[in-house]
Amino acid sequence: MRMHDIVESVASDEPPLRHSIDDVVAAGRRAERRRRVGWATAALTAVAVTAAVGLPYLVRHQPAPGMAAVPAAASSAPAQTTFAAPAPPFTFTFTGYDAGPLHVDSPLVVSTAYQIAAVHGSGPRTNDTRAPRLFAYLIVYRPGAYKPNGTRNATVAGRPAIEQALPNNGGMHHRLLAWQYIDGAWATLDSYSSEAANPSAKDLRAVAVALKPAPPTAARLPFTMRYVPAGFRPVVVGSHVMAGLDGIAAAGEGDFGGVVFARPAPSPTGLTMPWNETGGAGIPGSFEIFIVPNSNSNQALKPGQQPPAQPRCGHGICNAWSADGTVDIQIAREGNAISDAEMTKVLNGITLATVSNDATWPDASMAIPVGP
Amino acid sequence: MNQDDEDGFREFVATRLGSLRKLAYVTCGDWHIAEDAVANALAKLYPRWSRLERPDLYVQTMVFRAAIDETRRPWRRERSASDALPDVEQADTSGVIDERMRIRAALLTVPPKQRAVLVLRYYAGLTLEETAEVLGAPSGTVKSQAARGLARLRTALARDNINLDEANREWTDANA
Repeated sequence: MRMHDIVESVASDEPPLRHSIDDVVAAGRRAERRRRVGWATAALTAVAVTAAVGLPYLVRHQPAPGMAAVPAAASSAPAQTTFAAPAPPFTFTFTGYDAGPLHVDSPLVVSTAYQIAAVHGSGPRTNDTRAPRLFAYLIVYRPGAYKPNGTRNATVAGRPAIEQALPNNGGMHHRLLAWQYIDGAWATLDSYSSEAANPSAKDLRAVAVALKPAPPTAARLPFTMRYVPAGFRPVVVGSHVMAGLDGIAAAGEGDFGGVVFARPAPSPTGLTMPWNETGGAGIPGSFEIFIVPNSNSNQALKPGQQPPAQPRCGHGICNAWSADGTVDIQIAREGNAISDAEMTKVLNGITLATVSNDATWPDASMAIPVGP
Repeated sequence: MNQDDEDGFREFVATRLGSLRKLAYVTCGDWHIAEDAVANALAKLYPRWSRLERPDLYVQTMVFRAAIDETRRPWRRERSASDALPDVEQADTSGVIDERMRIRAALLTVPPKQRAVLVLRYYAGLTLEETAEVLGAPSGTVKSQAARGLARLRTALARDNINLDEANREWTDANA
């Protein structure tokens, strides 16, 4: 008897499957941190005209308590020589740069604990599907946010660092460099590559050495919201991408933005990785808003299909579309964080800016009525 | 995930859901736990689908880790008997139990990690390196676990006069 016969014999009384393909896909969508969507209720009749009226409203708007307004960085601003610490909430404190064979994009995701930027090579782009493949990202943590984990076996510009070659993940070679970039604050660079030697540890160190501060610039969002359920606080913002690392993975796909709210807000200290990358689950007690083109949605309206007249909720997700069906707004909850009715209320309070023109987008401090 | 990717993911689930559950079941011995492990692993695979070179290895890794974690718990204490493999101690020597039940009992004498190695190497057909990657263990450890697992299973089956006709692939490969 061969091993194959043994397994087939032991498993010959298998019961019917309890999960359908649709069940798995629905769970996967929830795990994906739910991109996309909006809705085409009467509320989004207002969305359709936001392009014309949104900006004046935003100008009148005051920053939420705890969220100081941050001026946009002017091109003539003097070079920043030290990291602003602590920077105001939801601001970016560095910009894109080149380092050896790698290029760091400007950060697009910012939380109360860290900023994340995509990193790619001169050839393969981050999240590229061509071989060789490279998926890499830089995370700059706020002081005290990151808890170094591992032997300090290297230095970067004379400061302690940790270099690790980690077990492969799905055929991708994983390297991690963590280093202290200022007193009490660490940054990390993860690379998943189809080639073991590209990028090299030296390439990662070059990125670390070249990290420099820039004048704080507020993250902008393609919408404003009027209602946030009691006790929820914004914790992660994505500008031009979904909030979180999934947003970085999908950078360049044309998404507009997103925010994660949590109750209670997770502690912004003692982290070893971004909050919502702990095995697929999201932040406990959280919900997330996604603003994406309908064409990017995992629940896209099909060609010729009209947006539904009422918000569409199911499997912990509520969806709506702009009146013309081109923009999706989606809210997804983690577990039972909030009810469908509350998600509907949040959606009804959202007003889109002109998504195609980020000059009309408000700073996060003005878009969100509560502070972190 | 765009529509093409989702179609690809659906096809992957359609073709793999049953076989993955079977592999998880042989590792953990409980159909309920096995299916939960597979469903959770596939859900976690979904957002990573487009950026994984080998989604099959990724999901097998997740499934086996979950299944092996379950085996560290008291054996199916909270599960219904109908879902579970019989404990070895319950093996019936009266001759009522058929060959299939004896094979199950023999397989259960193999520790979970060794069992996982045997299933991945000799049933799923993974290479030594792929098995090591899925289990997060050095190749040398996988080799030794395969040898010990085969020896243990062979001994257990022999008690019921069942011959395990499976050569140690690590040994034969190394000497090919």
